[in-house]
Amino acid sequence: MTSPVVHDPILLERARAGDHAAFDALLRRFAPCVHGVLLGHVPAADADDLMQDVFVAAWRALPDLKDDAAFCGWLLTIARNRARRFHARRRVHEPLPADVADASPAASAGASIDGDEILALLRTLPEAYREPLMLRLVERMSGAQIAAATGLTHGSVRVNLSRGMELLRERLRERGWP
Amino acid sequence: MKDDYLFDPDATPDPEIVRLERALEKFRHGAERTPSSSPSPPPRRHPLRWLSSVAVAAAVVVAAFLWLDHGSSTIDSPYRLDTASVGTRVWTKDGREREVREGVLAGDRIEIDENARARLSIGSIGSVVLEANSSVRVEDRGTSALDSSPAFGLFLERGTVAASIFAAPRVFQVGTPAGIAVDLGCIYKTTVTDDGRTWLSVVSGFVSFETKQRHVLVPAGAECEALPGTGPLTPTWQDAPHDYKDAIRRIDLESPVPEDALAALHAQTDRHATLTLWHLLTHAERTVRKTALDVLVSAGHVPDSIGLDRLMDGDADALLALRESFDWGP
Repeated sequence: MTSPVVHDPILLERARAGDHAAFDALLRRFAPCVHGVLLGHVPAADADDLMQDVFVAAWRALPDLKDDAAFCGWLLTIARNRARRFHARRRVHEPLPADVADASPAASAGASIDGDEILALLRTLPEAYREPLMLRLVERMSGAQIAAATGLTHGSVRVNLSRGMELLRERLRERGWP
Repeated sequence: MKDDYLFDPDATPDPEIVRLERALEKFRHGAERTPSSSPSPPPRRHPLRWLSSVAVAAAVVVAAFLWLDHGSSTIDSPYRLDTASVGTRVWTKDGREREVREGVLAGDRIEIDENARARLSIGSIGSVVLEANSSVRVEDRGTSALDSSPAFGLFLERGTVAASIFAAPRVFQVGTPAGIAVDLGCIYKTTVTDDGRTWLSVVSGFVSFETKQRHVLVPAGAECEALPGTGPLTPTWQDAPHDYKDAIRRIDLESPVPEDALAALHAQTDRHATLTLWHLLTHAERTVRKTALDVLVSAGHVPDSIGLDRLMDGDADALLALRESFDWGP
């Protein structure tokens, strides 16, 4: 099970004061959460690189964080913004990565589906469903942990997971998932 | 209740979701860092990820063969390219090109072209992102001078590396043509231009930028330029006014030191400015040392217990005591 996403005012205060060890501890605690959100937006191979960008940006902006309790939501907002910037750059410089380009339903209908294809299908879901499913299926966070990380209620997370899973099942079946 | 397991992984497992979890396991955070006894490198490093879908379709049979062929020859090294886009090339000491997926050994050179980017994992201490247009040589540093733990190093010939290192001080360093950035446990970025000029900016922690002649300390939020043959110049805060930075650069490089540049020292007297002023206390020209000390004293930044004459004379203990009275030093 992933480490609980727990608000820790002492760690945050120490990190804000420039304590590198405290920031490292925060980084380790929230890394799976940030990684899961990034995976919803960018190819897996780039998620780790972008994580570094996210934490660098967070470190720089930490003194501006007004509400410590909102730290994780704030961090995830940075992650989403970095992912959008990544796509803006990529459109100029690089072709669409294979795991996204192959996500169309006709690409491999009937074939066995591996993790790369499932990940690509997850990315085709609406963002409201995509992120909680990434956090649950990839990062193995519980619904309660996802709620704590995203600031949503348990009920909303349960609904989004459930509806997202239904959509994912439909798309998997279109592609021959038994 | 339907989807109970989806919300609560401690509930009775749903076989369909368990299959999905297993299929997606390789993408989980940290999965690529887990040492594997399997000879096959993890899929996240597969270079084909970066090709277009058409190229993948055309190359899949050949690629699979090559993958298996080279899988068992993955070398044992603390340096590992976790992600490497097309345009990343690895050269051995004797000039042979090494397959990227084989790994990286001390002595190898990693070259990143204008459209590429790569991430190099370094033991268990962190990673370095190698930006486009970079050339980096991986160094064999043996063991740490402090204990017997492994030490790591890169030499940045040109381009930019962004390092995130969480290790004991001096375990990791980035050499450049203008000096060595010695990691004191932090996140920082180093850029080297084609003529060897180097810029260092630190995001968290501290870096000691060193040559035989001079050591400067660059804390989080500060930056430092270094020149081949000259070494590191005096560090400034990244958010310092441009005019102030320019004046400090002229103080470091021009002789005699321009008076208007010296006068600029009086414009920044808050505690933030102690970083730059403290470094100027070891400047070669007495006028510079005297001006820096005057500014520090008049702003009340020098504790009474530290003798001013000792600071003017470059007494190491006095300088250390003064530095420790500030809040930017390690």
